[in-house]
Amino acid sequence: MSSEWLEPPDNQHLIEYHGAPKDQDAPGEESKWKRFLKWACPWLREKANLGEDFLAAKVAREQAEALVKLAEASERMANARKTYAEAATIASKLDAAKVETIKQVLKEQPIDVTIQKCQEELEDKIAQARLLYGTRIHQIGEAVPTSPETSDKKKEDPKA
Amino acid sequence: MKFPGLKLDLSIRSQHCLKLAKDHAKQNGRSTVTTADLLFGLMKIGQGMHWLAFEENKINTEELFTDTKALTSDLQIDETAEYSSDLINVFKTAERYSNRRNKTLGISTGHLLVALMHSDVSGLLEKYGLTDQEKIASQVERFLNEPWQTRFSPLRLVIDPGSAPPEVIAGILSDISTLYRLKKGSGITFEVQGVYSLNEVLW
Repeated sequence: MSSEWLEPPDNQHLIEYHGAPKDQDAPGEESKWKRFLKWACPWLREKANLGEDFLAAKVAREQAEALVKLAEASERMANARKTYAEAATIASKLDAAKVETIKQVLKEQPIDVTIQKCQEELEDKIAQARLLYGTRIHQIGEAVPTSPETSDKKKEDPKA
Repeated sequence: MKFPGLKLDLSIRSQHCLKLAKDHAKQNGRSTVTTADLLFGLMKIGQGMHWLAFEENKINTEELFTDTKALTSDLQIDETAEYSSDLINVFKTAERYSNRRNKTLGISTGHLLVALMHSDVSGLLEKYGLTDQEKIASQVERFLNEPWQTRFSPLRLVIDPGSAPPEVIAGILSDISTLYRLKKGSGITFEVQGVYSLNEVLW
């Protein structure tokens, strides 16, 4: 599958994003989240995979021996972080703006159909970004959380 | 990550540190990766939970890095295994610290730093003021419990954006969040957790 991808341009950065539920105190959120990860992670993995590239990636400082170069590398890393942190902010605004639209759509079509369409749209976006920009996405880590099960009613003791 | 008798759940950044350590040992003509090499990896990566501890304790990281490089270049090892016995003990200790918390982010670089303070490179770390393991362990726990860290196992994505502007990445992240809403969830907040270079040389 990776042979289909465009070669990334020089000076490319990999951005690691972590996503977590917006409202973590909502009733049943923890079990909903676990079910979502179990459902979505295999699907995301199937759609794109950076795999070996990511594990083989070098950190920017690796080649930096002189402090000037180190500073330059740090600056590039900081700029990349700033740019793609902005992506997370924009995503949050887009998501908030879609809440009402989703409610309207759900009045007109069954949820299964809506989910299917949303999946297809996302799949198209991933494919389009790959073709136009060489973008690659990889879902990492466990698809099913390995932590001891905690019910939604029982809050975790951080000192446990 | 396979170690004799151990199945370690290293965070992505910890895996990077170990890779840097392995590469460094190889560059110095050694087949055995040591605790000093791991410390080198932690210094080289320059970000993460251990780095927050360095910053909080005002550690002179440039000098510590220089001393670490000197230590690893002079190292004489009698062992022939892939990992020194001290390093394996470090991972066992780091795992114990990691297991204190009921989360699934894996063994962080902060846990590795605390474990190294129990190892044969503790003398070097003490020279720079890293003497109190429990204090550093507490700090690492605090960093790991910062608001963006959650009791929820995160959805972890690594994105090579290519030449895509942030808006394109935002569209993809937003769609993932929408999917979660359609599954009756509250939506997803994404945060940048790390930035890595895909190339060996950036300039």
